[in-house]
Amino acid sequence: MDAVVANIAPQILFAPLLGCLLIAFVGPRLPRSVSAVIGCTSVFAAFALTVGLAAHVWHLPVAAQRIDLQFGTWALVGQAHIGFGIWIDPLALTWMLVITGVGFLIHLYSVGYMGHDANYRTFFAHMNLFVFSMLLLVMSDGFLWLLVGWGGVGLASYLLIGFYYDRQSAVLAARKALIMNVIGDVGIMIAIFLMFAHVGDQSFAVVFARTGAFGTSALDWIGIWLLVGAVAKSAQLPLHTWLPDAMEGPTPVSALIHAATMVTAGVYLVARCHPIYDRAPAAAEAVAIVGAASALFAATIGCVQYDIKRVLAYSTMSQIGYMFLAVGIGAYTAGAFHFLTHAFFKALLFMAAGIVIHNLGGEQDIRKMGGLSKRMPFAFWTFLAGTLAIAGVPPFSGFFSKDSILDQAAALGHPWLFAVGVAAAALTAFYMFRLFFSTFAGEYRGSVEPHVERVPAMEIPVAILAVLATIGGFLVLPGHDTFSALLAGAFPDAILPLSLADFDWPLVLGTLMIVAAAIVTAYAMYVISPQLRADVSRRLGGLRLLLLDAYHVDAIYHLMFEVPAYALAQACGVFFERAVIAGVPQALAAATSALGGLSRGWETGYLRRYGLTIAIGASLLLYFVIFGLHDVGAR
Amino acid sequence: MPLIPLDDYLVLSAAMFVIGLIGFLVRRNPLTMLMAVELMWNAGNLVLAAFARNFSDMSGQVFVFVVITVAAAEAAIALAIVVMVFRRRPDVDVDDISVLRG
Amino acid sequence: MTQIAAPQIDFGVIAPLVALVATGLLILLVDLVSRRATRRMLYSIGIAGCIVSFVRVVMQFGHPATTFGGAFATDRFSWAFDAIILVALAASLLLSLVRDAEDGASPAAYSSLLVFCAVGGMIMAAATNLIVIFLGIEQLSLALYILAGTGLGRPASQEAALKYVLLGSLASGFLIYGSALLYGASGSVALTDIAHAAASPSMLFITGFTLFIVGVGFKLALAPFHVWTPDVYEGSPIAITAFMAVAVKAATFSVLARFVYVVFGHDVPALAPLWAIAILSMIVGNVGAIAQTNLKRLLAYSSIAQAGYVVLALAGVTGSGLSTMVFYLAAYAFMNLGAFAVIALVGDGSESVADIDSYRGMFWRRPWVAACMTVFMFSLAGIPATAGFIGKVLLLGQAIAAGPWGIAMAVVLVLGTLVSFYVYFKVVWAMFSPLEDGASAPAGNALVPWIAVAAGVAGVILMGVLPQLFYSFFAT
Repeated sequence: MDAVVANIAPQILFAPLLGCLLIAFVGPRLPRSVSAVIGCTSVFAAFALTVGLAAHVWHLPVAAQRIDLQFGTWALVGQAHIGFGIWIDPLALTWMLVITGVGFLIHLYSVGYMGHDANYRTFFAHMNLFVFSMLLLVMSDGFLWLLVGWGGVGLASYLLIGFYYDRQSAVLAARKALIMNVIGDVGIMIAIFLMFAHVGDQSFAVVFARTGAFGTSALDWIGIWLLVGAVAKSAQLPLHTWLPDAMEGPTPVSALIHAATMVTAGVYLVARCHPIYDRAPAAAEAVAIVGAASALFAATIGCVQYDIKRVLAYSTMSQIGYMFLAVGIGAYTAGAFHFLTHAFFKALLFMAAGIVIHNLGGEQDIRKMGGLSKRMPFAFWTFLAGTLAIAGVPPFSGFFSKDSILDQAAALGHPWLFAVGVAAAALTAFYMFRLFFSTFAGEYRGSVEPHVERVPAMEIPVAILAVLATIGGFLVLPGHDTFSALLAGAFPDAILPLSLADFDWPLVLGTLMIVAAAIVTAYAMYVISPQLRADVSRRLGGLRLLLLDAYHVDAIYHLMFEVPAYALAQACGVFFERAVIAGVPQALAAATSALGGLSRGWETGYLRRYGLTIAIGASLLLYFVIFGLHDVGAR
Repeated sequence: MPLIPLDDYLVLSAAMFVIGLIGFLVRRNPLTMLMAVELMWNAGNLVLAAFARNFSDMSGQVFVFVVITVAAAEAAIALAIVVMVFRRRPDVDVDDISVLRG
Repeated sequence: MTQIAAPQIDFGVIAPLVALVATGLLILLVDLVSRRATRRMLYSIGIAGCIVSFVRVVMQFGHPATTFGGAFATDRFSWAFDAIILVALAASLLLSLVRDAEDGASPAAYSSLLVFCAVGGMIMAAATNLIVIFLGIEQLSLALYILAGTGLGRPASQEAALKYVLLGSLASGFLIYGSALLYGASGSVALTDIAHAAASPSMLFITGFTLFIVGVGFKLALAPFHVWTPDVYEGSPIAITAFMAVAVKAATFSVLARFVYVVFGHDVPALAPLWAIAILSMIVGNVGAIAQTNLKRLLAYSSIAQAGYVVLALAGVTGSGLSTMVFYLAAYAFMNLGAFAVIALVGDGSESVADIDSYRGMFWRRPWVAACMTVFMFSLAGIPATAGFIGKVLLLGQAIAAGPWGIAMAVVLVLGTLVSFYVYFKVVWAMFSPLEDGASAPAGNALVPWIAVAAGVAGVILMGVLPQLFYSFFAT
């Protein structure tokens, strides 16, 4: 056991938990600013420790970078042993750095953004709870504690989506997110049951070492059930509908949970389980197909939405689709790399959008924006950096990560996935620049003059993220693949170890030209000629309406699940209500109550009755043993 | 003097035990009930003494002395409680004491 | 003339007992000598004695020993049970410190009796022959008869004492007669010798064992020998009820466990009466609790059912059974002491507000009290993440592996648990239902019970979340 890691790792995990508990129990007695300070400090402490840990681990030889710490036994049930363990490797470290680093920036931003909110302390307590749960998720050494973290982030997400609990839409959105996520939790639970059934353990070390003991079909099933969990958490098809609604939460929540970290847990899960997916080709293919389909699906919807945060939500779903595509085809480093850059530019976009929304007094409809480049130059420039990054314009970070994925899709022989990826990339460039131009170019279309307030606590994190979103891609330069080298320790036995640095220049240039064309189209439609835009809208007609309603998925689910469920409930209400639903339990309850009454009636309070009971009981017992057990009383 | 067989002691003690039990159940005066209980305890003592004699073993007799001692303490405590309960009541009848029920 | 040998006494073995006896005597002495000795001071002496004795018990862990010619043993049947008894004693003394506590006219007599009660319990836990078992049981019971009646102002307390002493003496009659028959069947009072007779039991032995079970079942409140329980629990002062519910059960279960393991050592048909009354207890306890409106009475029925549950640990008489029993008894101690401490807290030590109605809307007035009580109720019901859940899982595992009787008990445990959800959730429901206008709030605001409440919550949650820690500790 590595002493440095064993010392530092638990501190990283528990710093945010301590912060959460302090805010919850001590916070209400102290000034509100103290809660913010505790919240930010605890996450920053976790970040600083993570940096130290990462520096330590990355100095170890590659073969020694996977560290499994055991701290004791939680339960010993029959043969199954469940320990407390922490699993540190470069993959976990990548996620930990983002969770604590970006998490700290967003905490800092929240100090300004949530400054006027009455439930300031609650907000920071919940945010710290989230950071703790997410760290538990990525640091766990087995599926059980991973699931605990998985549920924890779901809970924190539920609490924070419904943070404005006096708004019914927020409460409904929170409920929707929770239900969708629980479907995923059950998927992971079933996967864990399967693991116990086959190898009797749930720790990564044992399960991954013994993938041979499963057989391909069982591995495929485990992969599929894990995918169900990943799909729900990462808002991929078909369990994606909660993510756009989740934008009801405060903007820092959208940036941290629903863009940078929690929604990428599915990617982490698949990458973590690469020994399973490497040997389960059908499940891996399902992951890639789900990812590609979600990328394209969400990108098309993003083109027509008017709510700035909903557009960003669909773009998140689309970008995570890329990551799924990458890990599904075995390009784990590419998926992790896109996670890293995406965390930078998507958090940046949300927070810059948050500044706009904040200054417009809560307005989120881009039809009422426009011309904000002069009024909010800071938001303009930072949002531009984020937009260029997500659109994949070199030398911004998104270019390197997204093209790595597309490149590998082509190189590994997945032409269809590559084509879908390129199409989604073009759409991404289009809708992001549509969003950008609608917000910042042209004339201001709102009715209320924006009240521009410059808050350093909000601008500093945004500026830092803007820099990171700009230069973050340089970890992978053509010919210099730093990122793969960093992650090498996490995938020593992956079947497809690929360098990200071998750029296929014809493909890259082709993609770039398509992206450029998309940007030009957006410029033409949203800056030069409103007439063109109206024409296109009219031509598209029905398709546009379909996209505006996100392919009617909510309505379809309503028809598929809610309507039959309600109909069934109605039918039960009419036909079985009396006989079964109410009748049987009522009869049982009546019978039990009657028994209870009988027992009550027996306890008359008369001492001699009690003596009689004891005497009768003893006599019956004696009768029972003397005549019932005469085979043993033979002597 | 002819030795009384062990079985006779056992039958006698069983009779004492049952008589004590019935006495406890049918009497309503707590003092009488206590006396009935003493009869049951002494039925046990009789068995112990008879077997101790039969086995020529001291431990059964020691047990008898322990029981007698405890019985004395128990009687003292029970009488005190009976006095406490019935001090302000006209009749000494356990059936009057039934507030707690259900 | 025969030489009478002076008994060889190993004082290390009886050190916890000596400490407690000394504590009891010291309390009496201080009260005699000093006129200014306050209640608080006397009870503090008691709690200090508890701690000393507890330390001595912990020092014995892992070092089995016997003394008094083998009649008195400290071993795996006594250590954990002693610890539970001492925790219950300390909690009971704490609860007696509350402002309005019903501790009779003489605090010194009250607290020393309580201490001597615990002495009886610890004698039971260490007893390896029938005489010492009887002595321990009576030492415990005689003191409890008096303590039950110390709520001097209330007729209910006097009634409880009367019922307890008369029925208790009746049950002791069965115990003595049973012990006498066992002696007759085996020729010895030592459990190890009785074990020889148990190998091929005579009718005398079976009858004696059954009568012995009647006596023990009375102390454990196993149906149908439970009839005294609701009345005595309701009538006794709250601190005494808490002690009865936890310490008496722990002590008597140690006797039962030692008897079953030492005398039988494996599952035999002769144990059938025990399984039968366990099943009946689970049914009677859970069903009887449904209609209750007084919390003390409700917890009395609950303790009847819980006693039935604990018997499941003996099913099959396997090696892990003892650890399971200790685990469940420890969980039971935490959740019951906690619940009784809440009642003491709310009523300021008197039992005047033990009605469920006075808990209505408690959450909106005193959220912490309601939250703690909810934890205890959830644990009693066996909701996951509480000690009660893990305990029930262990018991079920024990019972299911133990043949038809075990499976029957397991089924009844599950059904009984279902019924008990209604019982415990009724309390939770009352606490979280909206406040009614004009309802008077229970005013209790003593701080002392909070120590017991906090310890209970910590124990229940820790045992529920980190069961292995406790289980392996008890498995020593």
